[in-house]
Amino acid sequence: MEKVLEVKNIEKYYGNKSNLTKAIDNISFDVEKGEFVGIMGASGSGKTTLLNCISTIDRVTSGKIVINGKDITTLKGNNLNKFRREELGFIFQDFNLLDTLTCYENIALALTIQRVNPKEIDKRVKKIADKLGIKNILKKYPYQISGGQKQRVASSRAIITNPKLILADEPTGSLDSKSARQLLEIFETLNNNLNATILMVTHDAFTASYAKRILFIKDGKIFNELIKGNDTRKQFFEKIIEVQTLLGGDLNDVI
Amino acid sequence: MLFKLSFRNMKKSIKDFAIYFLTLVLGVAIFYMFNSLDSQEAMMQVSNSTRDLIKLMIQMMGMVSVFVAVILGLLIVYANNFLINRRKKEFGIYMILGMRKKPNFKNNITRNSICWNYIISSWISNRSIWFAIYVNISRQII
Repeated sequence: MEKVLEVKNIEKYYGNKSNLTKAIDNISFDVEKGEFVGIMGASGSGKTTLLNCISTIDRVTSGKIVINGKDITTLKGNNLNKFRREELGFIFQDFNLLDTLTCYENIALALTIQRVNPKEIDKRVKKIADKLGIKNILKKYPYQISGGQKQRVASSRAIITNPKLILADEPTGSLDSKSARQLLEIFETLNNNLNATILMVTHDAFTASYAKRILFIKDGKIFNELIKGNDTRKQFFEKIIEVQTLLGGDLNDVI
Repeated sequence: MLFKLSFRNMKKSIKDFAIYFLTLVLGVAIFYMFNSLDSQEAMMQVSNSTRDLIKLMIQMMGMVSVFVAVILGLLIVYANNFLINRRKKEFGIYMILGMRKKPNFKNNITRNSICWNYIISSWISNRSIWFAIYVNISRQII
């Protein structure tokens, strides 16, 4: 299989010499084409920092991140912009849709930036909207639709450019359980039918159980790895809970 | 599409712009008022004794106007930052989507609204700074 993402010994430090925080401490892993990988960890374990580094928002202190054969840690300026618009798709916890544009235009914007011609844009937007079940809200503005619908619009914006890698940062974080389930099922179909590679960061075991492989991160290091294999989702979910208890998960911190 | 985006952004932030314009216009107007105090008609028609007083006042004004210019400069910088800050998140989204930073003017003048807003704001602040400097220099000469 073709490797889409290679993370090689990356480290990320915050602060200065006297007060050094190792947010990421020597992490290496690979993601192959068509994989659905989840990254789990308690808050402060460095999972979002890891995603920020992969998504070129943040720079690593040392190490290499290779996406589709390109070392992204050395990209700068226009090359970086080009890379972002052509190879990456982002989904955020708080949607990040533009209020001034309708849903249709929000989705189309990703393609407009790539200078695709308008006829082609129209065709592709309609196709993707049909798939994600948001065809009837395309003319509405983001403030007129529900959170679940917003996240679906954001997801269509992320995947319409056919990116090599889709990065999702707590995509279900601000959704209710029903919309979360719908969204995750959409992710699953995208992964299965369109062969999209998804990297999802989450702290929620239920959300993570939709992934095919899960990396657990603790104190900036990879703690464990779980592969779904032939398990059902329920079995996988129970395994995740087990590892999470081992990890000294959120529950102990709360109580 | 991008024209639509820039146009709607302008429409949405028209209130911000109104405040911005008003602040700058007011600032420059006050500055001008201070500096042109001595060339007012009312000042010409005073008796000899008060004229000496006014001369002293004008000399003082010259020093004060430098101080006012510094404050006006800070105000302009602040107003610029204020406008940019209000749209920080939006710019972030553009960057994440990979929008080009430098628009291609040959292809499309309204490539993005960032550029337009930037041009307008920098033009205004440039104007007012130059105006302030000009007034100051002319005062020194006179």
